[in-house]
Amino acid sequence: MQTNETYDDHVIRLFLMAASIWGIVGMTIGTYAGAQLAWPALNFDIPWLTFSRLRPDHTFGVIFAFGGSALIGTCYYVIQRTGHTRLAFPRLANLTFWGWQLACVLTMITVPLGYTQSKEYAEAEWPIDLLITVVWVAIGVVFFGTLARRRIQHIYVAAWYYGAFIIAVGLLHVVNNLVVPVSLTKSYPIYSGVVDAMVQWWYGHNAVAFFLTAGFLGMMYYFVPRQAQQPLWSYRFSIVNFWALISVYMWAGSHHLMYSALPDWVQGVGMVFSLVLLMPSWGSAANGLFTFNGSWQRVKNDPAAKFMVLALVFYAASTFEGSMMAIKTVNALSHDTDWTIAHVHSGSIGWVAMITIGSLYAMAPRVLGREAMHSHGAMEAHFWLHTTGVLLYVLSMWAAGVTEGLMWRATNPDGSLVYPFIDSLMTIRPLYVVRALGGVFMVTGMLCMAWNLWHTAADARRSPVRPVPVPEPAHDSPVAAAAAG
Amino acid sequence: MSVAWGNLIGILIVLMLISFIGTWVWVWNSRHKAKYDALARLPMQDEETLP
Repeated sequence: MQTNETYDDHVIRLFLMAASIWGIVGMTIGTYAGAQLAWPALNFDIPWLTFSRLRPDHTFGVIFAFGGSALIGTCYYVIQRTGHTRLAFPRLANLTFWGWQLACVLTMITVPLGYTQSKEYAEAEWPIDLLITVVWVAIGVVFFGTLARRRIQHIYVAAWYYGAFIIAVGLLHVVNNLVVPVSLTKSYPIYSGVVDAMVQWWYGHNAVAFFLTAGFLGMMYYFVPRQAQQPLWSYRFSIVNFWALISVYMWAGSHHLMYSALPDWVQGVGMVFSLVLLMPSWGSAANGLFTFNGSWQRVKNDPAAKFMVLALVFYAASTFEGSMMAIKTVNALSHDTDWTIAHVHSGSIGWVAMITIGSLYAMAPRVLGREAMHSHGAMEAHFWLHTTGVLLYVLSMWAAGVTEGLMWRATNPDGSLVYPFIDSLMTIRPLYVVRALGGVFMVTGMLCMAWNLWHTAADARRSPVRPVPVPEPAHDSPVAAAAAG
Repeated sequence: MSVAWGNLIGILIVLMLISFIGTWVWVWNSRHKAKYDALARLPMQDEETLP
């Protein structure tokens, strides 16, 4: 049975295209910055091309521009489909697209020019932060407005995750960016010393928690059952994991400040909460993977499903690794080494990028009015290019990190260091070359996706896409709202 | 750490434990089964609503 409504997918198409472009931009900058560590001359002594400025440009580009566009786009898709309702405030939704793109473009330009708050993952200066705040509130209005007019009474678990993502990221963004502006391009934080560090890493860690985890778990909980064409393995388990994850994650940020001036007990709290965090993390990973039980044949032939399965494997692996790295004795070896870089990338290009790419491939044909993506071969090629790139990247940085940790800790019987710093750097240099090569593989894969999306969108460019009608839940359905419509 | 502060933390830990166990009991309550089974299938309807 269908209602007279249709889903509003216009803004979702825009976010989809933006995500594919930002993915290429962000990963290209990352590859170039990574290559500079192998060949430092690549900065050509040009200030805006130096590693110090390109690195935050890369992280903003991939997390907020690529990841953010994908998250907001899929969020608008999922909230309509899981509520059987049309998007609320379509004009405001369009404004959130242009506002978010403006904030991304401004940040991507000003950071290399040297305008920065010097806060990791929060580099943009205060005028851009204000713009982000306004856009974020508007995203919340569209999301919760759509939620309010749903026809499915119960809020599906993916929407809970998206809701937590929107509320928590808004809170984190505002608190961490409280500054005193001294000019249009310069400000100072209201916090100082170790309090500033703790606020920064409360923000930084929870950006991982609520942007890179909760948001993408929302994507996973919708697109995995949809692509597997299997019901979610355990809906009950997903509820337990949701509440456990969001109540535990907030308190783990201090594990970024081990062996610092932060009080020891605060470091201990971060360590304990990080260890507890393993349970809800593996709970969601297991729930996603078990959902594929009974449809592994589908995985063999469907690159989108392949991306999702490998994303879940990387999610389980990187959350286990993260919990282990939060143990103080392990952290003594890993801290400040490339092991941290390996960990964050197994999470970001393993888990986050793969679940995003899989979900975009699943969603794109639907919003572009096609049966399937233009080229199955290009999707398959993308999967293998990306997987090769991730493995080259992560394995080389694991090896580099452990090498650095061991070399830095080696002492002679008289207590002096066995190796000067430059020795460790020269030892791992070949691994930096391998890392850059991994980046080239991944960027090539993203180019395949952009090419494929461009051709999938060919019909949509020529004539308007036929809108998808909103189904009405049967009145005897256990999930239908009391007053449908 | 003062005794009052320690007691407060203890009470908080007990409350968190109760709410955690309570969540398990709540979701495994059989009266939710039909609803949760229907919800677990909700994403699959995306395929069924092709125009």
